[in-house]
Amino acid sequence: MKSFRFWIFLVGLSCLPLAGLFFGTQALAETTAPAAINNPNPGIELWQAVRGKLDSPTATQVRGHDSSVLVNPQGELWMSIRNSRLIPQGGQALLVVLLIILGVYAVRGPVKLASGESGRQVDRHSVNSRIIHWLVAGLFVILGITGLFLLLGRPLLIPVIGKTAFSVIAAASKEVHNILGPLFPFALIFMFVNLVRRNLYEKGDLAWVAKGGGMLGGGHVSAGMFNAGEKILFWSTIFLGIGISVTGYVLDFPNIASWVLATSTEFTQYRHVMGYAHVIHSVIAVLFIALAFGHIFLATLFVPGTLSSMTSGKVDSNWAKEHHDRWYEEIRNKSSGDNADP
Amino acid sequence: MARMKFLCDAERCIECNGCVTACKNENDIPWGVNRRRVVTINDGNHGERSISVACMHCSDAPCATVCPVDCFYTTNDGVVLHDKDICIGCGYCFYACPFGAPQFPDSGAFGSRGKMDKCTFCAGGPEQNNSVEEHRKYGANRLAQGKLPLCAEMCATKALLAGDGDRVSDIFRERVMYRGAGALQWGWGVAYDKQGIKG
Repeated sequence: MKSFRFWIFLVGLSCLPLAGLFFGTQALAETTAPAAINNPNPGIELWQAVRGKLDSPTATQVRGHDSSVLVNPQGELWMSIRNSRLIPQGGQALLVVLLIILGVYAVRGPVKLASGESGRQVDRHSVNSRIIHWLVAGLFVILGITGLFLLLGRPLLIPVIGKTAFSVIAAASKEVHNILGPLFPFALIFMFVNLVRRNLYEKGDLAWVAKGGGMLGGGHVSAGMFNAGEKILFWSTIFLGIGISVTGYVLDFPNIASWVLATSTEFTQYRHVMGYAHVIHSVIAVLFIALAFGHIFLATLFVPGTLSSMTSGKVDSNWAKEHHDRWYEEIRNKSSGDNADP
Repeated sequence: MARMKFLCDAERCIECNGCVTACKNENDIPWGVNRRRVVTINDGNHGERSISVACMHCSDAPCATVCPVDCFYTTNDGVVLHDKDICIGCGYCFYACPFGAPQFPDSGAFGSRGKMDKCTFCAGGPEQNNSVEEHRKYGANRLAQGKLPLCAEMCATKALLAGDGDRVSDIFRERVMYRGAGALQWGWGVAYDKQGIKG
């Protein structure tokens, strides 16, 4: 009992300073505070302005889009996206796509013609179509490889061949990518004009998609000149191509806004604009390359007999009958069949 | 080990651009490239302050982490330098740098970006110290001669300090202790009708 009282006393004693605080603040509140300083410390505003948090006017004698910006906080965002998203996840995404393709090939194997080759060739793609296809394809492969060097070269190639050798490859990649890149949209425009008529929606396309192009359920699905999968490829190429071309021009020509939009001040190629353009460009590029992996795989390994339509322009009549039955009917009704479809 | 640092005293900088000129002259920098620049906030208004800025030689330099060819390195003095033989002039360091330090001359094909150029803390590059080749690519190597960067040496008001980070912060701390900051600064009461002086 005695010890209990002692503890009560001790707790009370330790609370005394708190009581003092209570009365002390009461006393402080009663006395009038000295007149506040009207002028805020300019140091606070200065460092907020340095970080760009106030819209203070800044000036410098150095010319440039944003040379009067002291601290560019967007740079760190771009750095973290590039280093922890684009490089590892972009590389992994392409690897996963390759593994899926390998899996599909292992499970479903090459799709051989059920009735074998007839030996009779029919025209499928005209010379113009083939030239345009290989123009787009050639530019795509060059731009894709040089772009991947710049994105993934540091983690993958420098440990193998060293900095000096990789620098030569990267410097060449940068120049080739910058010089050939601007031609890509023109190749795409040719391809669009050449193939758009055959890639519009037709009856039967939805059924083709529903059956996975014959992957699900088995058996061939009826298709015209281009099946729905090829149409998806075409429109993906066009839309990804528009995105990659716009962002590519922004990145390749740092002053293009002042040439093209000379009258507009809405769009200026600040560093963060370039950063966003780079991120969008890279994401589209990875999707585009994954799409191209799929296209190349389907046209060469998976469906034998397809590649000749883009080399000689001719395909076996049984190939046409089995894979593009409605188109085969179409060209057969045109009797002679020597005038090639685009 | 010394860690080299720049510090610009915004209370002292008078925007004379002497540091910019000294830098351009000492390092023979081409037209269009400014390794150092002076930025004035609220120019002509109340609260005007100027700050001279160049490469800040970060400990965890963002430029070095985004470089696709890994051309950056940090010297034993904590100076961030790059190898122009490896640099490809892609411009990624400029996107990542908070301070806008990397500069690009128009020397690539079709006037595209050439190899990056930036403040070296007057410490040259990877070549032989004070060789002709080093001067051509990177400018002066004053550190190897036992001197500090010329921008800071030439600063008329000693606003721009350069050198060992400990020494620089000692000097700046002494200044702040002596002159105070904000409302405690000498002259504040005169400028603002004695409102700054308490009691």
